[in-house]
Amino acid sequence: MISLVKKLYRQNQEKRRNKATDAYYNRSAPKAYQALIKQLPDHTLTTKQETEIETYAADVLGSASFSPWLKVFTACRGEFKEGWMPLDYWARIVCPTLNGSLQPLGKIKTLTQKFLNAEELPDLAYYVKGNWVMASGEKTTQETLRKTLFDGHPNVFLKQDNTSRGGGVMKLDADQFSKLDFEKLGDFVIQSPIETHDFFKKLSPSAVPSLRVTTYKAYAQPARVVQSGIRLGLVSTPYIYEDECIRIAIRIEDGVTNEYGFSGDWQILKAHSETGVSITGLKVPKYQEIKKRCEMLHDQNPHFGLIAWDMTVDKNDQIKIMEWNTVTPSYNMDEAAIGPHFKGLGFEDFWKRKNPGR
Amino acid sequence: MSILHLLKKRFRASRQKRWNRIFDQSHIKRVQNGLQVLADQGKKLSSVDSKKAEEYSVEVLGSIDFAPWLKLYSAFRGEFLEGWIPDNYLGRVVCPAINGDLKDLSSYKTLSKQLLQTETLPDLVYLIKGTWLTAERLGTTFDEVKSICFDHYPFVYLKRNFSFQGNGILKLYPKDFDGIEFDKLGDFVIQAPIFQHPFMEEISPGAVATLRITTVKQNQKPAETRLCGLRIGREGMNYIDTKGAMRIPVDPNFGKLYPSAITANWQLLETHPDTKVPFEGKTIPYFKEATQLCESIHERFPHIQLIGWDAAITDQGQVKLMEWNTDQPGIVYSESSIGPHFKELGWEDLWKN
Repeated sequence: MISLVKKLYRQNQEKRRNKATDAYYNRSAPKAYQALIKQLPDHTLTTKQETEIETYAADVLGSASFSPWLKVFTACRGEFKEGWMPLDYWARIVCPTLNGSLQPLGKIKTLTQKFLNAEELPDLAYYVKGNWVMASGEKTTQETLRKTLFDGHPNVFLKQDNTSRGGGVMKLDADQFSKLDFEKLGDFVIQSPIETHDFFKKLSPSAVPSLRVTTYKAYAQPARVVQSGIRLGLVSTPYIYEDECIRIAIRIEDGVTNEYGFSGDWQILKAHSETGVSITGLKVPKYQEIKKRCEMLHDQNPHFGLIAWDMTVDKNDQIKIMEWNTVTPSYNMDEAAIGPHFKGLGFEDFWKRKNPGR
Repeated sequence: MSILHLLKKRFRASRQKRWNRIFDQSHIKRVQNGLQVLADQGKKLSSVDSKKAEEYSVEVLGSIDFAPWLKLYSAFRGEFLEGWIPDNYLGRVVCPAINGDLKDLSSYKTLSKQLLQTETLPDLVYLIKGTWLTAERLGTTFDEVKSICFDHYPFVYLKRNFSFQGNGILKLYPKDFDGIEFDKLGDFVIQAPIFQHPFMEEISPGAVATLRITTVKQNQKPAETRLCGLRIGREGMNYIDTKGAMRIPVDPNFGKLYPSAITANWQLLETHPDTKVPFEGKTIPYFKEATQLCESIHERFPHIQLIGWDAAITDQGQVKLMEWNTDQPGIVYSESSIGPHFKELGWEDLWKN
């Protein structure tokens, strides 16, 4: 009897947790849907389509609760496509299954270089538990660091551990650096600024655009790129922050941008909303090399099934890694525009496992 | 406070209590057995020390649950000493508080070299999620793996992720290699064998003696060696495992051995049971080099405050790291015999957080 009560309690707890996760990841789906059908009224979902999507979510992904983003994707394309990956399913089933208990490590930016050992990462120094450590691993002091940090750069970027999507990022000059109360910031990395390639500078004049390349490494198989897109900054932003940017999907075969992108609130764009520069049909420089490098780095880190890389190219044509993401890298606008990206990888069966997401 | 809120609070408190009880169970059993074995050797716990241990446990460490180890330490020493850290307090209070979310990281032996960035780990190859990688993290094939393992070494050691205390280790010869279903072993590292210093060979014939060096790096302070112990084996052992090994507590400043080895069952031995070599008066060679190495690697990894390093001294006088431990590195044999080792770190207040 007690064991039955315990079982019921656990099931109820699990149900509540799932509901909360779905609610979190689906919170912006209704707005996205409304924004899309306002621009594309003939894409409004019929009752029949809605039922079909809900049935698909229940039958293929295990729960009708996975349908909100599928409806958004359908509204974008005007038809439902099998294989689309809703964000809440991705967050609570796919990413935990692929990356296991190491999933949160990508958020610890002060450890990134230890995993990647890549010269393309612009890390200069770390502040960890009150200790200053150079990117090389040598100890240093705040005073020594302050003297050398700004020798070659007018400013640096500070990125806090356990933050994402531009949260916890600061652009600092020497004066601001001196005045900062570091102890209140927790652990963080200091990165050198990146002066981007003309291609990116033209598209995103003030913030360094972030080229997202997602790689998947199946058991005993080489890593391969499965999804890609680019985030462009707005004129007034010093770095890309949450949804205050323009997103455009990239064809992974040839690195060419899609025929349209989106603003943060799902307005369909063919040109940068502020500069007017066309963002469609553009070939990203060094794209094949970037893909190859991401795949190589992933092959060196097989503990993770899925890694999303934020990349760019600098003015000297050098590839740069801004960060890696192993937690829940999102892709909604790219999936809507040119997806499905993850069809045929077996992700839709993960929910059937004994402890999905664990 | 609503009734529902109160019920939830009670439920959580009760669940925590249950978890604590489950966590402590094995500790209580070990202490009961240890106290009996020590008493049989004339090291009996006095009622005065027993009371002191209980009072200290409640007043300083916040619960009577931590008294058992304090009692065992007192029985060993013949007196109660303030500042001792009970093993279950280390496991359920100290490590989660100071090593945080990263406390399980050392269980991934396939990540150790990558994270610690040291050439002193004898890693040769890894199998991770079906992918063979060299120690330089380059992809490799099964044939190359064989060559990497046996072109230079007569045998190698395979250590599985999440294995500890000597479980999950295989000693492999070339003849074993083709018959093993590696895919069924989960992720693992293969390490080169270590040929140990004659000093170690004399007191641990066959199995490589493990020098446990426990370092603490507090916020903004340099890493320091706080506790040391030497784990030695019996004749015929392939490698040190927790059950069969004996521990000799080691002075963390000078590397001098405690006069007796202590078996897993708390038997004290003044000489090695197989070779009859006495332990008294001996000092570990290259001890300072070993502690300095561990401290310098810890300096580069300040994310974790408490690390137990397993080091070996080679026949060439080099220090090699065998692994690191970030989740409750064992302390009881050294802590009881020559501790307390962790005074003035503020650990006795961590339960209040």
